[in-house]
Amino acid sequence: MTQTTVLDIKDYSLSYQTQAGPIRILENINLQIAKGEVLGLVGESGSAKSSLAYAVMRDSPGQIASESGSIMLQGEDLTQLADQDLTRRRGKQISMVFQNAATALDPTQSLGAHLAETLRAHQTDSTLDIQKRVYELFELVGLPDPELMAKKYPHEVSGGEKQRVVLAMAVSCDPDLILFDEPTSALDATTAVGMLDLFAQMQKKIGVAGLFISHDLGVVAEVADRVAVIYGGRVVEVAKVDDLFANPKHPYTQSLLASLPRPSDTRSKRGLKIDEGTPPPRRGDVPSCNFSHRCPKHDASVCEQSRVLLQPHEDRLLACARADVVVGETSASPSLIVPATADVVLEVKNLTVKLGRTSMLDQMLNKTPVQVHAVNNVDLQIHRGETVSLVGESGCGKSSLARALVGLGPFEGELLLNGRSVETLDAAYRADVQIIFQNPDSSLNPRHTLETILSRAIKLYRPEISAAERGAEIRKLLEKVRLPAHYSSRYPHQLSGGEKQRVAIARAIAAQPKVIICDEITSGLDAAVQASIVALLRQVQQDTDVALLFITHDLAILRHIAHRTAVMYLGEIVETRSVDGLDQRPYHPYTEALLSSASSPDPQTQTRRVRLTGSLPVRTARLSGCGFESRCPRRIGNICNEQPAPLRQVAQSHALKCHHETAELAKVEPVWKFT
Amino acid sequence: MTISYVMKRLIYLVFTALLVSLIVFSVTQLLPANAATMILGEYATDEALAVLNSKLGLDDPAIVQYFRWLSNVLQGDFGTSLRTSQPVGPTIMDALGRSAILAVTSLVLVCIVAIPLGVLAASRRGKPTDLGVSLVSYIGVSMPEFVLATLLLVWLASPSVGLFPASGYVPFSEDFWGGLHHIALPVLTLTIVLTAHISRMIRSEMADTLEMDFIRAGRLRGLSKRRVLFHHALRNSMLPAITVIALDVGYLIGGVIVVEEVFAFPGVGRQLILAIQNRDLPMIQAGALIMAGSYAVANLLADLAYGALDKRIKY
Amino acid sequence: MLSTMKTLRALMRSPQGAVGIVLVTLLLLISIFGPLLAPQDPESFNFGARFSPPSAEFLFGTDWFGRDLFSRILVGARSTVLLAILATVIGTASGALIGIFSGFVGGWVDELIMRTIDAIMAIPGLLLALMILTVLGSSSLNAVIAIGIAFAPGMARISRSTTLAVRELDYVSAARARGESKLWIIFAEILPNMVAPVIVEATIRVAFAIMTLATLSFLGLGAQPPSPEWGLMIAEAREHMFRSPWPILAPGISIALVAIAFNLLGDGLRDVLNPHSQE
Repeated sequence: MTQTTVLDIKDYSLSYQTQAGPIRILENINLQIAKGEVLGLVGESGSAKSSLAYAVMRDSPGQIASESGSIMLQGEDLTQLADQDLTRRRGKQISMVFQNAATALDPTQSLGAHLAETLRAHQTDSTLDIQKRVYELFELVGLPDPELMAKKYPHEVSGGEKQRVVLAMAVSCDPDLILFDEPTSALDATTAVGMLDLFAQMQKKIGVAGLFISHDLGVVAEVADRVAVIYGGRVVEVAKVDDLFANPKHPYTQSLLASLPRPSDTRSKRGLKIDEGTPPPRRGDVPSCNFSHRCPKHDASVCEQSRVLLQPHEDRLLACARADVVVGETSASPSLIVPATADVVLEVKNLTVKLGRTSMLDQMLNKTPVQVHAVNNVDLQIHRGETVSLVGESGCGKSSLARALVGLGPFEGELLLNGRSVETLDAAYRADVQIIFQNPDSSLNPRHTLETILSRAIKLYRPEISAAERGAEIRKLLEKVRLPAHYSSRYPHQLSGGEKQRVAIARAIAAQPKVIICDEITSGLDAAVQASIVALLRQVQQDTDVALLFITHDLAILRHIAHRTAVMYLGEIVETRSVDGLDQRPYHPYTEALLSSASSPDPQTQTRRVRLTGSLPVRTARLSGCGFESRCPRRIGNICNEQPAPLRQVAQSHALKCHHETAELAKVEPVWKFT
Repeated sequence: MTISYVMKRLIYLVFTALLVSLIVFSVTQLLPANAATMILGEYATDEALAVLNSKLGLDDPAIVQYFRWLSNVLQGDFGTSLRTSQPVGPTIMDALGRSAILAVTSLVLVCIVAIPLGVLAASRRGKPTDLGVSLVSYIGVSMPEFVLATLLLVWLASPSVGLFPASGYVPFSEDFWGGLHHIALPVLTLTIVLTAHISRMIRSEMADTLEMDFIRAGRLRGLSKRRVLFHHALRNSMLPAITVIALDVGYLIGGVIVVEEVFAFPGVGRQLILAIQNRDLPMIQAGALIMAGSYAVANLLADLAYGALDKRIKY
Repeated sequence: MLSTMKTLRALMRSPQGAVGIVLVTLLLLISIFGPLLAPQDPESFNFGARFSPPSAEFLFGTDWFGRDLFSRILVGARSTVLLAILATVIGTASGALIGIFSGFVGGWVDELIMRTIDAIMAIPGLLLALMILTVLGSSSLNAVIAIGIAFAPGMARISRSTTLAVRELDYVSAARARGESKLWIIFAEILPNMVAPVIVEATIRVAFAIMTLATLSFLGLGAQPPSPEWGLMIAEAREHMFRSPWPILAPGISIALVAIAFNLLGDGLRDVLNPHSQE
C-alpha cells in the first residue's frame, strides 16, 4: 500500500433480512484506497457493488440481519459511529456522486441553493463567503456563467449539467474520499466522456481519493488507478488497471473480459465469449468459492477445501485456489458474419416523423403548435440477410423511426417492401416487418404465459397452422431461441432478463418476417448476456436470411453483428458506411466524435478523444442548415447553419452529409491506434 | 406562472361552471312535477295550470328556460322560493355566510392540526407515534359525520352535561361568545373528520417523498435531519398536499350539509335539505349551484397556488 | 386461481390485510345469514325493557320500543353492507368502462368525456347524490343508484389514467404493431393489467359507500322506516338520544367498524398488488 490509506475496509460482511430469511450481500470485503488514488469497482448487475458504496456511507436500503468487520476512514471506524457523528462526516469527509443526477437534486430548490446548504451544513469557518464559494465551485466543474447557473432549477438544465452540480456538491467541502456510483451510466456517450475528463482533472487538482463503481469496464479503465472485480458480493481480484485488463487472472475476470467487444475485434477477428451462468447462491450454505458453479477450472478436491479468500498473488490480489493452473480456455470463435445479398427488402425514402399534438384549449386560444421533426427526410435501404445498425444518442430519433416503420406512429414519406410501394401497413406488411423492444419487462404482457404470447403471433400471421398444431410450433420456436419447451406455461416474471429477451425474439420470428427491427434490445443486459443474444440473432439471420435493423447507442457491439451502420443525429442520417471499414477515414465529424467517445478496456487500443460541447438542440421546421452545426468541432462557418449539408458518396457503400470535402475529412487523425 | 396559465385556469372555471349549471338545471327539469303544479297543488284545474305555466314561462322549450334562468342567476336573481314565497337570493346568501363561517374555521383548524400530524407520522414511520396517528385517523375516516356529530351531541350537549347548546345559531355580531358556543360542536365534528382524512394523505405524500433519491442525496451530504425533513421533504409534499386539501373541500361541503342538519344550523346545507324535502325548485337550484361554485373556486385557488409554487409549471 | 391464492397468502402476511380480510369475510357472512343468526325478532316490541343497557339477553341493549338492538343490527347489515357493495359495483363497472373507452379512443372523444366528468366531479359527491335522489325519490334502491352514479366519474378518471399508462407500455405497442384487433387489445392486453388498481380503489370505495348510504338514510332520503338500516336507526334514535346512548352507539360503531374493515382490506390489497412492493 502507498503512503497514507484513506479508506480501509477490513473483512466486512453484510447480510439483509428478507421474508425468505437472511440474504448475503457482501462477504469478507477487504479493500484499501490510498490518498489521491482512484479504485475502480466493477461487476455485473446484482454483484452488490452499489451495496458496498452504501455500506461505506452507512445508509442501507434494507433491513440488516448481520454485519461484521470494519470500515476505517482516516483511522476511524465508520461502523461504530453514532448518527450525529455520521451526519457531520457525510459531505464533509466522504461524499457521493449518484448515478442519476436528475433525481438526486431537489426539484423545488435552485442549483445554487443546493451548494450553499451543503457548505452551510459543514461550515466551520464563519468568515467563509458562501456565495463566492458557490460560484467558484460552479466554475471548477466547468459550468459557464455561474451566477446565472446558480439561479436555475434542476429541470431547466441538461443531464450533464445536473451531474456537474452533483459533482460540485461532492467536492464542495474538500472531502477525503468521493464515492462514484455509476456516475456516467445515465448520460449519453459524448456527454459521459466530458464528465470523465472532468473527474480526472478534478482528481489531479484536489488529490482526493475515489471509489469509482461502474458496470462499464471501459469507463473504469479510463479513470481508475487500480480495479477491484466483485462477483456475487465477494471481491475476486484486485490489480492495477493495465495489469488487470491485459492479463486477467481470475476465471471470472477472464470470462467477463472475453465477452466484452473491443475496437480491435475487426482486425483481430476476435469473437465474444458466451457465458450466461446462473447467479451465485446468496442464501443457505456458504460456498468456498462462489464462482465454482460456472468455473472452467473448478476442481472440487482443491477448490472446496476451505473458504477461498483474497490473497496476494504475484502483482495483485486474487481469490482463486487454482491461480497457477492454466486451463486451455477455449477461445470464442470469431464472429462470422455471413455476407448480405444485394436484393433490397425494405427501403424508406424521405421519411419524416413529426411529433407534437395540440390540445383543444390551445386551438381555442389560437396557438400554433411547434412540431418537432423527430425524424427528418431519412433515406435508408436494407438488404436481404443484412444487418444495418442504426446508431445515435438518446433523442436522435432512432426509436421514432423504428416505431414509424412498424405502424406505431404516423409518418410522411415513401416505404417500399420488396420493391413494392406500401400504401397501408396491412397484415401482410406487419407480418414481414417485426419489432423487438428494448425492455422485455414491458414488452411482454405480465398476465400472459409464454404460450399465449407466442400463439398470438402464430394465429395472426400463420393461419395455415391449425390450433392443434400451434403447440408444436411453439416448442419449435422456443428451441430456436434455446429455451426449454416446458417454459411455455411460464409467466414472464419467472424468467431472467436474457431469457425474456429470447422470448421477444421468438415472438418476432414466429411470423417468419423479412425484416426485424431491434430497438436497443441489448442495452439493459450484462456483457455476457448481450454476447449470447447477439450470437442468437446471427444464427437466426443465417437460418432465415432475415434483414435486421439493429438500433443501438453502443458502438462497440456493432462490429459483432452489423454489416453496415447508419449514424443518426437530430433526426437525420448523417453517414452510412460498412462496418468492415469502420477503422478507415473519412468520418462525418459527428461519427468521429461518437466513435471516439466509446471507452474500452482494450490495452492494445488507444482512442483519440474528440470532445463535443453544448447539448442536443431540437429540430423544428425552422432549422435550415446542418443539424450538427451547433456542436461541430469542425464547423466551417456560416455555410454550415445556412445551407443543408450536401450528400457525399465516398465509396460504394459509404456516404456522408457534410460541407467539408471528403478528401479534407480523410486527412483527420485516425480515431484508434492499434498496437 | 404566467398570465396565460391564469387565463387557462379561468377559462376552465367558466367552462366548468357552465356545465355544472347545466347539470343542476337539467336535474331539476327531470322532476315529475313542475313549479306550477307545486304552487297550485295537486287538485288545480288544467286551465289554472296552463295560465300559470305561461306566466312562469314553463311552456317555453327547456333551452330557452335554461338561458332565462342562467341570465337571471348571473344578475343575482335566483327566483322566488315556492315554500316561503320569499326571494331565494337573499335567503341563500345569508345562509352562505353562516356556512362559510363553519367551513373556513374548520379548514383553518384542520390545516393547523393535520399537516404537523401527517409530517410527524411520516418522519417516525413504523414507530409508535406513527401507529398511533394512523390508528386514530383510520377511525376518523371510517366515521361518517352524522355519527360523530350525534355522538358529540350525546356526550357534550346532553342536558346533564350541558357544555354546548344542542342546536341553533347566534350571530357573532350580537353575541360573540354565544356564536362561538354555537359553532363549537359543528366545527369540532368537521375538524375531526377532515383532520383524519388530510393527515393520512399528508403522511402518505410525505412517506413517498421521503423515499425519493434527493432525500437520500441530502442525507448523504450531511444535511441535518431537520433540514431534510422540513426543507426538502415537506416542500416537495406541499404541492400534492394542496391538491388533496382542495379536493377535500368537496368532502367538507358534504360534511357541512350533514352537520348543519344534525345541529339545526341555519346554513346552505340545511336550506338545501329543507328545499329537497319540500321540492322547492328555485331553492334547490340555488343551493346546489352555490355549493358547487364554492368547490370550483376552491379548486381554482389550489391550481393557482400550485402554479405559483411549482417552478416546473410553465404554460 | 393460482394468482388469487398467492394474493390471499400475501395479504394474510400483512397485519392490516389479515385483519381486513377476516373482518370483511365475517361481515359478509353476517350480511347474508344475519336474519338467521338474530336471537330475537328485530320488530318485536318489548315495553318492559325499553332503553335497557347491554346485557346477556340484549347484547347491545334495546331501543325506545324495547326492540333488541343486536338483532336489528344483524338484520340491518344486509341493507347496509350488501347495498353498499352493490352501489360500488354499479359505480366501478360503469366508471371503469367509460374510463377505459375514453383513454383508449383518445382524441376529441376523450377530451369531451373527460371535460364532462370534470364538471360532474366539480359537484361534491354527497350533493350530487342528493340531487339525483331529488329526482328519483327517496328509497334504499334509489340511494344505491345515486351513489353508483356519484362514484362513476371518479372511477372513470382513475381507470382512464391507468389505461393511458398501460397503453404506453411496450406490450400494447407490440400488440398494435402486430395488428391485433382493438377488442383483443382492450380485453386481453389492457384490462387484465388494470384489474389490480381498480379492485383496490373499489374496496376502499365500499367503505365510502357504506358511510354515504347511511348518511342518506339519516337525512331521510334513503331507507324508510321501519327498516333496520343503520343510518336510519340513528336518525330515529335522535329523538331519544338523551335517554340512552345505546340505540345510537350500536349502529354508529357498526358503521365505523364496517368502514374500517373495508379500508383495511383496501390498503392491504394496495400494498400486496403494488408491483413495487413485490420482491
